[in-house]
Amino acid sequence: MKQSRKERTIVILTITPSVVAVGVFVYGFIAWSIRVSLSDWIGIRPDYTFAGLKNFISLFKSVRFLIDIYNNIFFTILFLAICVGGGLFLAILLDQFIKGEGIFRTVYLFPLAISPVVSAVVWKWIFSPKVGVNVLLTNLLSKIGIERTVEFGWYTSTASFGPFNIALIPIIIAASWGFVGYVMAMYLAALRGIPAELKEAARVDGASEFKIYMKVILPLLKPITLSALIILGHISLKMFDLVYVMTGRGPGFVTDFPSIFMYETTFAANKFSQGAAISLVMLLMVAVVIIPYLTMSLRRET
Amino acid sequence: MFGLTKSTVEKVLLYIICTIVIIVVIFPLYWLIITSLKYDIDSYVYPPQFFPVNITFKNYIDILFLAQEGNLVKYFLNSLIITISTIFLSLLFGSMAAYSLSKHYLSIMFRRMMLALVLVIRIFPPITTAIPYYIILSKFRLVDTHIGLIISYVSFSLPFTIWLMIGFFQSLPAEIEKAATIDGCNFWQRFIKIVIPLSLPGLAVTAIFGFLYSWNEFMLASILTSENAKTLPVVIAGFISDKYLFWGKMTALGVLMTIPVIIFSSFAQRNIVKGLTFGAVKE
Repeated sequence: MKQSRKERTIVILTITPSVVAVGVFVYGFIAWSIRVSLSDWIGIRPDYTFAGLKNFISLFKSVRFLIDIYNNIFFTILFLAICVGGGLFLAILLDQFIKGEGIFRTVYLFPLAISPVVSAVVWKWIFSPKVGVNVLLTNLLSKIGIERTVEFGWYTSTASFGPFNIALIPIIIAASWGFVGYVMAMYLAALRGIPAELKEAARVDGASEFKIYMKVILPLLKPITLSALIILGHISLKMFDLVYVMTGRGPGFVTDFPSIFMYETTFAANKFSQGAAISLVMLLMVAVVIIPYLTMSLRRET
Repeated sequence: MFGLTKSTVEKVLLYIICTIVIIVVIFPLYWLIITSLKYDIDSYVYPPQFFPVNITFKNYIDILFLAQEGNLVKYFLNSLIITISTIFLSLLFGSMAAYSLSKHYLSIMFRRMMLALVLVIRIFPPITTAIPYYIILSKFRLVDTHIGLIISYVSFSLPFTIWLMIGFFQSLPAEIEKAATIDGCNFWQRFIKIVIPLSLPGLAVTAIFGFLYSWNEFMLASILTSENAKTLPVVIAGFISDKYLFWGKMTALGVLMTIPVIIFSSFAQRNIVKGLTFGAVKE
């Protein structure tokens, strides 16, 4: 198909709005953030005086940021483990071709669509030290004759195992609630794509059903696991809405995340240069996780 | 328990596990609903009421008609205006760009580069663009306006719109367009009269994603709006203060906000995973 010069112009015109929007508002703005992060801007009035890496250096010396990084790493590891483990379990469960599977699948996916702000409100109640699970536990224990002496603080608890703050646990549960169904759906799609002959052949060879799953099916799911880890990984490194609404930074920063630190530094304390530096460290963290994903997807497309 | 033919015991076991999981998944939603139907005082009672004793619609009436925080109908409209505009603009520009990028109009190198640049946006923490947005919108006096928030939402929903639409366009048979070209259709005629009508299901699914994104978005909304253009998630978060938690109002608003989400996402159920994996998983 030979194309005229006019047609070529039209093609260029069709992509221009998107290129401009994405180029200016995403790439341009990231460049701008870099500029702010290298400046001395504190206060409402813009100040682009070049300050070098000052903001980054002071960031890595700050105790709060160190806690944030630890929180984010522990959160990510546990969140990924629960989502992938739980998702695989549910997918295998629904792969047994039971009646009403469609209903189960739909309901398991519900939490994914719900606003993190709304789910944060509910989980805030469930794990509130004053109401929710705490009251239930006390109730249950007193019924069997045990008076509670230890109060659980849940997301307000300042207890920790080494650098792991146990106050993160309620947030990890809330976040996993949102994404287990999603990982399940990914696995389920892959399980349905495995040819039935493969299972049949293994069955004929006398393998037990359990063995078929372990030796034949799970190895085939490896690429899905990798995708799930990378997708959830970058979601969890960017986590803001859920944590901000559910707990905020918490006492002694027990539930603080880099995104919350950035938000408060920039829009509450007006330290724009510092805030920009935090947001760029976050971008770098995500980039490290995402590079394999990108190369993988691009190899598949086009 | 993994076989195709199962004993009754195995079947019962499967159903029991599936049902337990359903209860766990549904409980927070159930709690959202019943808390919205309780007086605030009942949210604090001991033991918690799993079935509301005094059912009231007071919270709904409060937030819709009497709220001191202002009439919430306004914020509902804000959310609606911003969401619809975002969907419309991203579909308009996104599907045009996707069409040009999906066919052999441009060199493969260029298309690959564009796709890479589009794909990579998905991973950026939007917070990295928050400061420039804030600066530039203040400069043009667009902070706390619908337009300001719409611009920021479109820039983040364009990438997934383009990505999804390329997939739909590529799945159309090439012969149809060839035939149309021979019949003398130009680029726009092919696009508007042939490609778009054939891609309506794809557009619908992409619209639902746009809906979920801009309806639920919180971070940019809380930075770039304060009163006039405030959206529902920001209002909900605003009910949380150090002194008192308005459980009833928060959950009532949460319910109202979630109803359209549940309706629309059930339509897109089959495609929701595809859209979110964003090309990482071939189905």
